[in-house]
Amino acid sequence: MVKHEQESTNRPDNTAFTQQRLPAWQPMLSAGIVIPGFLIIGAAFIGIGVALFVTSQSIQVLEGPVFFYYALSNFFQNHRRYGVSKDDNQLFGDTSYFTSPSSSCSPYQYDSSNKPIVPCGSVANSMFSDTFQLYQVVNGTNKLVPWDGQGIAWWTDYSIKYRNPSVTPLQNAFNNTVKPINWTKPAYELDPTDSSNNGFINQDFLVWMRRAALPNFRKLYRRITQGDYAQGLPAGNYLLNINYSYPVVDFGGRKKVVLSNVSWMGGKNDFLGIAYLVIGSLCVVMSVVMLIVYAKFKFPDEE
Amino acid sequence: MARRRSDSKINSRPCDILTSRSFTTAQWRDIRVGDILRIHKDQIISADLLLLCSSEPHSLCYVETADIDGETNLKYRQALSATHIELNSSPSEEALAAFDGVVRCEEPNNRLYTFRGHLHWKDESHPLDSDHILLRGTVLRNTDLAYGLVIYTGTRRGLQSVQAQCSVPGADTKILRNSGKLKLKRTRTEEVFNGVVIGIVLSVLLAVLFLAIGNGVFASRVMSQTWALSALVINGNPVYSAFLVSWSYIILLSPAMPIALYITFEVIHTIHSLFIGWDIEMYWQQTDSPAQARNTSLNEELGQVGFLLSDKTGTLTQNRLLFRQCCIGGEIYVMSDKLLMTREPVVPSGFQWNKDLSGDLSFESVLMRQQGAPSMLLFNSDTAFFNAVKCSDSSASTGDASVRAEDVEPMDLGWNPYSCGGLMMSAPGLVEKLRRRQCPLSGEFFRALSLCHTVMAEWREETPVYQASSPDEMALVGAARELGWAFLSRTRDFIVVSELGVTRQYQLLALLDFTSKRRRMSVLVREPEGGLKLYCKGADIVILERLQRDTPYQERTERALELFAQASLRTLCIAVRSVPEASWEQWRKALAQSVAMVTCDREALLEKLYDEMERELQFVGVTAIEDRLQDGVPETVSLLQQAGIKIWVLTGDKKETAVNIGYSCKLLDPDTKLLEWQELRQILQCPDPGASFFKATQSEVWAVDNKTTRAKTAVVLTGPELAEFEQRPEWGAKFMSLAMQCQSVLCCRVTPGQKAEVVTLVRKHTSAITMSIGDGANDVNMIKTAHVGVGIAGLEGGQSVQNADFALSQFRFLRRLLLVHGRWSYQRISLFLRYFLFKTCGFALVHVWFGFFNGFSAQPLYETWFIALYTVFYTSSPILCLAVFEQDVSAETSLTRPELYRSGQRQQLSSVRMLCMALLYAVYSSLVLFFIPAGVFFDTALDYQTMAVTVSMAATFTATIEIILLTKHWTKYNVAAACVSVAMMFICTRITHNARLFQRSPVDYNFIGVSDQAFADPVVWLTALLTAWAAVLPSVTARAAIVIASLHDKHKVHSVSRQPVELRSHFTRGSSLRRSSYAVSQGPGPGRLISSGNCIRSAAPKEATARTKPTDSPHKPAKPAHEEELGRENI
Repeated sequence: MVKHEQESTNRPDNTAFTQQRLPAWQPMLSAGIVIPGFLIIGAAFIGIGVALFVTSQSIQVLEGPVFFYYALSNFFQNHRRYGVSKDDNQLFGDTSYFTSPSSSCSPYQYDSSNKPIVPCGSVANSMFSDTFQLYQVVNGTNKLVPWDGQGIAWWTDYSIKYRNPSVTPLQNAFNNTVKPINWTKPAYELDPTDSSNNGFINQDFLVWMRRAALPNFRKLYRRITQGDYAQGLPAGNYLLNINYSYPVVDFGGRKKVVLSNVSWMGGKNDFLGIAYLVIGSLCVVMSVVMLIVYAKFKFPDEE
Repeated sequence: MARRRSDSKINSRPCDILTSRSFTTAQWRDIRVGDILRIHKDQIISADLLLLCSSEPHSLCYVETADIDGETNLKYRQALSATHIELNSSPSEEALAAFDGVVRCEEPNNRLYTFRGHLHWKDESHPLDSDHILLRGTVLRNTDLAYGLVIYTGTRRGLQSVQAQCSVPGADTKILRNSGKLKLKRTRTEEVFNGVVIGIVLSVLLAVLFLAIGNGVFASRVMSQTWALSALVINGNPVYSAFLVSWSYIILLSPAMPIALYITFEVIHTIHSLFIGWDIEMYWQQTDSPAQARNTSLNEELGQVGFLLSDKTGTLTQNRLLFRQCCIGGEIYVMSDKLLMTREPVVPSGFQWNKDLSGDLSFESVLMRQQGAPSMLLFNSDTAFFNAVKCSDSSASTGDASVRAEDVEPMDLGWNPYSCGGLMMSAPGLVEKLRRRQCPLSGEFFRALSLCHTVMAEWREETPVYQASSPDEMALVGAARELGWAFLSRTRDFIVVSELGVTRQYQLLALLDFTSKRRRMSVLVREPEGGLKLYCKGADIVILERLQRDTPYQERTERALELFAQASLRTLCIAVRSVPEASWEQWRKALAQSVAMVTCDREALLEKLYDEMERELQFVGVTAIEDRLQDGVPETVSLLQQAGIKIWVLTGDKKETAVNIGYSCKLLDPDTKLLEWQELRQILQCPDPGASFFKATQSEVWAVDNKTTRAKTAVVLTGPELAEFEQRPEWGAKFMSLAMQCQSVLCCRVTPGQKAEVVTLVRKHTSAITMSIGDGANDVNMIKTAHVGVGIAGLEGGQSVQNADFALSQFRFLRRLLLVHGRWSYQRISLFLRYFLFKTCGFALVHVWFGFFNGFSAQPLYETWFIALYTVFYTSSPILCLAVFEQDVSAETSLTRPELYRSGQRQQLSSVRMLCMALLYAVYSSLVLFFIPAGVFFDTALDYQTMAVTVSMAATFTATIEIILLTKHWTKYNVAAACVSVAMMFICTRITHNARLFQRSPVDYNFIGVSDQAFADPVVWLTALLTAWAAVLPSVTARAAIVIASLHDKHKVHSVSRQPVELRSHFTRGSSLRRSSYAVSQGPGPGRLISSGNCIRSAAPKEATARTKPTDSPHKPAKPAHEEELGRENI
């Protein structure tokens, strides 16, 4: 017996794995699964589509809280060379990058007098600079609609990703640097009303720095969450005062402003709902076609 | 690596080389041209040698060439008489050391059967031919020692030695010359895939070109106009910017060029190869050898084989011949429980029990069965006879004759001192008869077997060991010995036989040798009592027409012959004739006269004389010998044929043997028509071969349906005929188109080179995958030439395994290798390739579409980390599991439904079309992956990073859904892999978006916080889900459509099966069944050697002499002069 065992040293192991006999589940598709499956998925998609579409349609300006967006078109914030043109270390508050910004910011790394630009790079340099005030015209007088620029950026952006250097006053950190070429104010004076909203954690700056995915995009400007208009903008005449400083004409771009409230699915967006409806209907149609073909095969005598 | 190892193993085999007066053991690698080697008995000859002398008389020596040409009989080689006389006289070492001949010979070539050269020695020139040459790879048999001069060695250039100068430039041995070149084999699928990959690379480069142009245009037209971007045009030069961006795009689109796939591909191949080695059902216990995939990159090719080109000897057959049945005086002696055994594969329990309790009882039960079965077989009414025929037919169809020989209870032959066992026959009734000497006919039968042959006996440990040039004769003489008629020894003029213990000496008067034309041989002997007897054995038709008029049992004999033929046994008829003294005298004189003639009709005259003597024969019986097939060969062959594989047999053996094996291994059906060369050549010469082939197949009466008729035709070719193809290359295509319609092609008497040429022919004219299987050195070339080479790891046969891609121990394992492993591999690898293309292209091509929306700036749509991890972590493990575990049907189903194999032969799963479909599908899904999220994100406040995460999610979902759709065999690993991949995507995304990593390196992890926002946003989820579903929608729909359409097919099958089944004409079988399958598988026999006494030791073995009666010793009767004459002439 021992000899026998010695002889068969090359004998393969008789395990489920080596013999490819692992227990396995082998689902078999059948018409009874396929047709109802398509139908159910189609129905579900149509359901989602309807919900999305209805939600999207129900979004309007008059109910609060109202969000104020500015929108740009034909502006390629998603261009790669534009997108990389910033210095994450600098924006993270690392002062060593204040004096020598990353070369990725080039050609917005140093100004003509070879002083480092802070914040450097193309993205910061092209920051949207128009400002808006919304007034309701009540009895001939313009009543300012109060809005709030806080919390329009992502929490992670102003608490982690972007940081001001821990230098007080903030201005000192920017010694020997220059503001971006297109900027009228230095970074530490972006919001004269709120000292904590300055530097790299300025909300408008953060919103701009979060690049858009596509050349047509919106960016949140203000939210109307407090005061008389927190419940929405009542019907009436409104006046929008635009401090126009951002040039778009040369590249054929357009600017617009959007006032909208938001639902669980964000701003008004018909596309997703319609897409769901289309795909869902397609599934339902296919299930019906399959059912017809199936019936033909199953009961050929009726043919 | 494995090849190198085994090469070095061979190279270090020992051999004896003469170095200054003595032989020293060296390794094969040390052999140089001009060395003198000493070869021992049963040693493999290591180089092509000139035989100088041997220990045998006349320096004869015997070699077995099974490894070279597949023939099983021994061949003899003889040294030049000059070298024999000179070198054998004195102490051989010294004489050999003094040998200083010069051999001039032709350049090394691949012709195995010819050799031309001269030996210049002692101022004389001796012509050399192939009879003087021992080829490498042959085995020395029946000869103690042989001395040879090395003429050709391996591939290394030989150095001229001191002793003998050879004018040989490169010194390859003939067998090496025949073994062809080693080529790197690549699979068809891989070639197709490489083509597709090249296509992908080209289209990607084209896309990059367009994108770069787009970038240039964008830079010059748009960016220069946009104040925010104008400064970003590199060096202010749009062309330079386009040039740079093209490199970025090449990197970005590189996942579509699946370089990683090749690595994974290798891994999968390796795992599949391991599975082959691990398969316990392809493990052969007796030699302790599992199957082996020596080439790990050809697995899927196993699932596409269209042509199987098989060697015969050692591959289909075991190279063992067994005496299985006989028919004496019309009575069949069969192994007793054969019919019962076929019904119940296990030995009946009662039988077992009997055996255990008492030997007597069991003997009786065997006896009862024995006597019952054959009598029922033949002597009952007609219905019983037909039943019996049916039984044996069904048993034959299950390969009974070959498989169950071991099940036979060995007979008790203890009474026989010469019995050595090994007789696979159980006929105690016969033994009883023989021992009681009740039946003189049976005695005569075995006497004939023990006398009428050319076997030589050698005494070893008190028993005679037979050495035969034909294995058939060996089996017959062996069987006679087992049953009491033991051939003891032979001198030139006498044959000593022990008949049931009584030693008798017969004087051999004449030996009428076997030729393939005569198809019979006879011996004329003088009995000790003084009577003259002619014993004759030969093919049935030859013998039956030479019988006396009123032969008894003729009808029974014919039936027996039919039965034997059905069981695929080789039959040989035995007859005897008492020759009157007067006619012998007369015949002898006539013979002496005709031999003395020098004219060319001498042969014809001899023929006529022989014919005169072999007349008026009295019929004795029929022997039935089984050329043992390897286990399970008929089943395997028929299964593979059902799987649509064309099986061709290429053998160096004779046509008759090959055809016989073709029938017995179910390669040919009993009613298969053989298309031979004459007919084939006419067809090929016709301008329209198809029509004439049709005509030829129509000529038979039973040709009912054209299609089946064609399928029932087999082509039989021989080597020389095949050589004509070389001269007429235009026949190749014609021949192949015919052969494609035929059931099989048998090529006999082909050299290794021709075997390879046949393979090349098939490869050239068909697109099918060819597979060669063989066990010997003669198969090496075809193994290398075919797409896939399989070596049978026999007892020796290292050569074929060395060069094979797969090594098996048994032919029958082939069905598992092809139908299970091959099919699975093919399925898995096709699925793998298609899926891999889909997932990588679909993933990468989104960048092309995104380019249109970002100024062709090579902005990636994914986070860098996602790109890095997608192929490796998020999508690789499920497809790897699929490629390892997928089984569309189980192994058992694969074997029971061989027709499933055909999809592989037609390349249904891996065609260019399928791969292009996968690519189109990938392009579609990349469009969906980009445009649906783009539509959602267009003109919204959602940012780029959120979109990147959304598309990443959608891409991962798409890949996962697709793999879920593909997987039909869900093991726990598949489930785990699918779950883990998706989980990995979320976990890794969370990790790379983590604040801590960002703080460490803000540039590398600047997606911080995105997943917090995105994973909480229903729009992101809904978009990802919708995108993924829309991306896989075509695949889902196609699958659903297949399910629905399969209903239609099922319905069709049902309606088809209602149609009447084709009727087979049973009644025609009988007549076409009788194959003249005579047993002697040899060319002109060595009879002349025996009668010339060359090969017989001058002193008879002591043992034999002791047993021989004293009167026999030096008596030398007038030796027929013609024999001597004949012998000289032929040598």
